[in-house]
Amino acid sequence: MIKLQNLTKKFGDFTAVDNINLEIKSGEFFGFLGPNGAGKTTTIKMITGLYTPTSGKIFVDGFDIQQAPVQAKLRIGYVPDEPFLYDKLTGIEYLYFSGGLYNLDKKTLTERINQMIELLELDDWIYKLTEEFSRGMRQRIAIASALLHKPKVIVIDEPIVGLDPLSASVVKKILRQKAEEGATIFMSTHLLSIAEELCDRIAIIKNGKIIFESDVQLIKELKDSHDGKLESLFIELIKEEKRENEI
Amino acid sequence: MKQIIQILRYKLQVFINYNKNIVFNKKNLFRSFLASIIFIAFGIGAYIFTYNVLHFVLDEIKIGTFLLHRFISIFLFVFFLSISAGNIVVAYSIIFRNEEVYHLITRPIEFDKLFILRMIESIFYSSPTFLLIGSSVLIGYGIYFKLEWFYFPFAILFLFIPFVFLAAIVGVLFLILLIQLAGKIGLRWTIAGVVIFYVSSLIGFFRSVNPKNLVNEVMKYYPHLDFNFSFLDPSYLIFLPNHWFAEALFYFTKSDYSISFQFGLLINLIFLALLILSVLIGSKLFYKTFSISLDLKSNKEIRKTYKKVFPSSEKIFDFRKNSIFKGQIEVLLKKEFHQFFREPSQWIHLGVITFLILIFVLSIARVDLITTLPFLKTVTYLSVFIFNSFLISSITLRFVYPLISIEAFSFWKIKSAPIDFEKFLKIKFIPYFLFTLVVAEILNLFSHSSASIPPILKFFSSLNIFSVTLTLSSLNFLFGSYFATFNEKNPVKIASSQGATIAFLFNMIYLVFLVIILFNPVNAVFSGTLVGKLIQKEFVATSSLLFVIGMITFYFSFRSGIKAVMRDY
Repeated sequence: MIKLQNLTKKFGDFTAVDNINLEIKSGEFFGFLGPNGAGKTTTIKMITGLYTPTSGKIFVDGFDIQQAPVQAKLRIGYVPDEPFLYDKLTGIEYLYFSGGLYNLDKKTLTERINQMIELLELDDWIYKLTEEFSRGMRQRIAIASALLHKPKVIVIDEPIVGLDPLSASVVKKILRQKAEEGATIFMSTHLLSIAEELCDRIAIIKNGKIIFESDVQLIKELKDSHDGKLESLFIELIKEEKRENEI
Repeated sequence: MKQIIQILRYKLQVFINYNKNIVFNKKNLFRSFLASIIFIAFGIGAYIFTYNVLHFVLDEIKIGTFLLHRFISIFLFVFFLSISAGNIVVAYSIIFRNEEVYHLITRPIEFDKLFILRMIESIFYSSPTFLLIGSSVLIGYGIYFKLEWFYFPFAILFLFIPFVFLAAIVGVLFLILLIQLAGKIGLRWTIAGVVIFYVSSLIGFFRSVNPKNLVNEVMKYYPHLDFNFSFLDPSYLIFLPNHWFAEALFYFTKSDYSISFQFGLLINLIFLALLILSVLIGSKLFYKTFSISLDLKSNKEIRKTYKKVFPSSEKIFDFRKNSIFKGQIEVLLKKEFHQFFREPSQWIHLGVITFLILIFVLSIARVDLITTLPFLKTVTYLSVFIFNSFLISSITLRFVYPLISIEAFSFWKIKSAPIDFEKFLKIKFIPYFLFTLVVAEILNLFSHSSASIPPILKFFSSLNIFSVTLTLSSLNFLFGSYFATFNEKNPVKIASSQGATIAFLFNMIYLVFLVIILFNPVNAVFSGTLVGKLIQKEFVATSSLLFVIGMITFYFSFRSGIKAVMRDY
């Protein structure tokens, strides 16, 4: 469903993403892990069309994001790490605005918005200007807006960071539900517990390079050899990479 | 004092880091180099323009030095009001609604220090451009009159700079008063009060200093037009800083330096007095005013005002309702509408501009080209046409320039959506262009209502004003996209950034180009009318050229827009 081919992104002399190759199958919940500044958000921004790759290709459901951006973006629902909304629109207006960008007809859109309000527990907040929202509320609105067009692919960047426990639980619940419904989810996070809880497969990126890729079975085996926690495995991998670089 | 120095040091560090970034970044360096060249060229242009205008009005039309300085005084009055009104908006963003203020207010810094720091920043915000243009004009003036060397430092350092700062401080004081008033009587009445105050100031000034009557009175003394006719001045003029400035210049040209310096001293003393007053008032009222401004922001007062001013707009532009447009076009237009009319700095500014235009329209409707000399008719006609174009330039610079940048941090939603960016840009551009075009055509219609303007000129002007609007809108859209940063969502700040200043300079160059290209065809029409001939050949070529320039600018503005939205976000 998502294919990254020799993907590289450079900012001047600095290489943020260095020739990475990844393939995420349909219906997979993929966790993209890495320390701060590893290249997770840059990769996501290339997948969603916010950044232009320096080289390499990205295919979403077979469509090249550079060659057929409209077709590829139609299939993506994107939630950024900092969900800035148009602060002069109310929550509900923002949802209508988002749905309209995907040319959804008014009747369908109204039905889906009502579903989202219930699912994400948006309540009466929905009628207030988004500039009055807390981070958790903005995140929930951003998620709702990304799901309105029932995307095949959900790309979500650091979904839990900075959220209160209630918002975090709502976000996890909806991601799980979407995965069960068959959506492909590409989630970046540096919270290992979330990856452990939700993902079928993970990859770890460091200094722009994929240093580890594994399915859920291998993760389980490796975890067992590292006191049963993904965190220990992650720290070990990062350290190992650092040692190799030093040598 | 230690805290102020500490904060200023950190600001200096930010400035150094920013410039280091420019020096070590080829693209930024090129942009800055280009900007410097444009600034210098514009400075030279302003100098040449001033010199030639003075030569024209004193040597060709021979209006005399007294009338010249009264016109300078009128210009300075409008300039003073514009700066103080502009600084109300700028100071509001810088002193009260600013992330740095929100940060510093949580630190143990005394409010008076915080206020002084922010006020200084607000005053200096647009000063470099003003300084450049003002200095060039004053140098042109000094060289034309062959004034002594000490005129230059005196005019720039002791007249112009304190005059601009004085206007800016009046703006800050007015802002504090307004926020306090808004806290007591509500935002609606306060806004109404501001509009009434500024408009009545303008009307009152122009009524009492009626330029037409003044010219008639002075002309009675022809040919002794260089005498001092100050007995014709209304008595209250002596209290206005623009009058002091103009008088200081007038007496300098008469080599009466002591009177000139007295007026200079007066400006400086009043500036110092108001500076001290504003620091005292600001120190006492800063926190209280800051709290009121926060309340105003959050207590729905602004939304209530908006709903009151535009009662049916919320219903018409309701996202839930169907409209003649569908899908992407519909939601983008509705978003644009709400984003504009829910941002007070946008619609209040628009309201003020519309009101001023209305007054201007009503005033110019009565202007008649009384002279029979084709040359003078051309000059008068072109002055009005260029002023119309200048208004269009101001509107587009203020509202069209920020269109791309204003998307700011929220642009990810559109950029990651399945939308054709050309369509997006058209939806952004067209409503503003159409609005400006309507304003432009109204201005054109009223300024051509005089029976002494030949119909052929009325016809071509309505076509030309379309091309002018297209060119100026596109030009500002082009620069707005080229300098788009997506880091600043405050439209006022975007419209007064360095990029906007460069755009403004290009606008001015275009206006000068208009004068050059329109002079002969207009003069030919007036000359032809005098001998009963219809001379329109030149006009067809000129109008076609203006249209082609408009289309080319439009094309490049979209190219620049596409590049801006395709940039890494």
